[in-house]
Amino acid sequence: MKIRNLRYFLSESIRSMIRNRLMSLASIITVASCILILAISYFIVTNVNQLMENIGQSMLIIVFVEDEATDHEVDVLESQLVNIPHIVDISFTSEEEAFARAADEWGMEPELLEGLPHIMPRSFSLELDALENQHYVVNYVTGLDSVMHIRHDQEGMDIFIGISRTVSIVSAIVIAFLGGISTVIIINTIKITVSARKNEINIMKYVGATDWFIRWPFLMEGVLIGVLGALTALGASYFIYTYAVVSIVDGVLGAFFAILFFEPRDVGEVFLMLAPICVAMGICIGVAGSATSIRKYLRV
Amino acid sequence: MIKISNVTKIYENGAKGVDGVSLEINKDDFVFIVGSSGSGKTSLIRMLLKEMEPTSGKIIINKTDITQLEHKFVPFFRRQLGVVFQDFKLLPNKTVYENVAFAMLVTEATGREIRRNVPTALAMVGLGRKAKSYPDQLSGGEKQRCALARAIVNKPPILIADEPTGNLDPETAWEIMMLLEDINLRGTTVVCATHAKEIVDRMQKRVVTIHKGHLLRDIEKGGYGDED
Repeated sequence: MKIRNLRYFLSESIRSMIRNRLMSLASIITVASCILILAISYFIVTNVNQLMENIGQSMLIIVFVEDEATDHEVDVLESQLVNIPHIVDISFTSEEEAFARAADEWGMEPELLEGLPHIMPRSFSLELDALENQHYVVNYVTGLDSVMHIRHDQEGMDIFIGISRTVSIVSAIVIAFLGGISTVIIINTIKITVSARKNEINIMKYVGATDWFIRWPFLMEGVLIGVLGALTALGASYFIYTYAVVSIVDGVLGAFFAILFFEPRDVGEVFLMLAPICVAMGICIGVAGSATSIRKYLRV
Repeated sequence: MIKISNVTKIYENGAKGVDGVSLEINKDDFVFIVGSSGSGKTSLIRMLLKEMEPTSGKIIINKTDITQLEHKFVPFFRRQLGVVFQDFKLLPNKTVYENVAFAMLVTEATGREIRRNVPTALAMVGLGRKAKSYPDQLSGGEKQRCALARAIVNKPPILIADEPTGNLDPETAWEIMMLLEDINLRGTTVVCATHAKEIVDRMQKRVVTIHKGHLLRDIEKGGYGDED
């Protein structure tokens, strides 16, 4: 495409949008509404996943060490644990620390316990990268020397894995469904615009315009509508998300989420991910809508 | 220049638009294609523009068999034709100048060529002062002049006019016909489908009569209903 033509196509697209401003506005609002719904779905999914991650990370695997194990054997065990995949953090609790912690939990004065043998076993607390890897890690650790017992909440883990998977699947279906509906709505909206201009397209064909010469301004119009719709949706969703985050962190919901160790994802982080997706989606919807709508009018 | 050989057009409903028409039009000819409504003249014009395919037969224009022409080459073929319609077919959102320039723009003419040729074409049809007007600010005659300027701006060897005076009063219609004659005298072959009897009788050009899809008469010089 020549630069001169590019200028012409772009100016034609903008002129056409201004000329058919009501229809353009309707298209932009439709694109924006659909992308806004998708953005909100994304907020929910990403934060539910975050919540699951937080809960998962708080559910530690405790590996108790045999009483007879020597310090050297404990070191060996630690080095083996460090090399197991999916473990993101390991912390060691000595007999004394375990005993002090237990005493603290039982509400006993340390002086009263002086002289008593330390009956609490040494242990390693393992934090995993994801809930799903729990089985793997437990199986691995079970086979190691010096391990007396492993404590983990199998049932709780399974429930959270189930919830996490269900949320992912449901949101994927919702996003795909909304994406499909959005595209159909946009195609129909743009079809009306193109259909109102079919005489114009016919005239272009009669004077010898190639299909691409006719198509480009429509495609660019689709791109512009898509980008403007996406930016509108991003602006609106930014305010919605900021408001939601403020409500969660400072509002009534704050206490509830604090119990679940939940902190909403950072606004900047979310939008860094969301913005290119929304703009790309807006462009795709706009181009697909224009291209599909114009096709049948080109066979003259 | 144009050779139509045994062309037949049968529509999907079984109606025959054109039935076995053969015709040759030479360079610099001015040909009227006449006939009553539904006689088949518009079908013939539409096939010449490759807007419609014949069911059988061949149409050769400038040594190209357009019945065999692939879709992607059609725009390039149409650039060899100037076309004028009864309903003018002007782009409503473009000025007179832009409407004419558009025909050059699609051929990827340079800005300099456009700036040189468009005013010349507008001056030729007497529309120089209306260059900045939009189609809805023009009279019927002015709209057809604008369409004519657009048709000739690329200096096509052939100009096809489909009922160019159908929407005009007799005086304006005559002015448009004079313009067509002028264009013809400058070396453009003109094919004009019309049922404007008075004009055809007055101009005394070649007249091809189509009746019920058949070629009824082809007179070298004559009027609407003249016999050989």
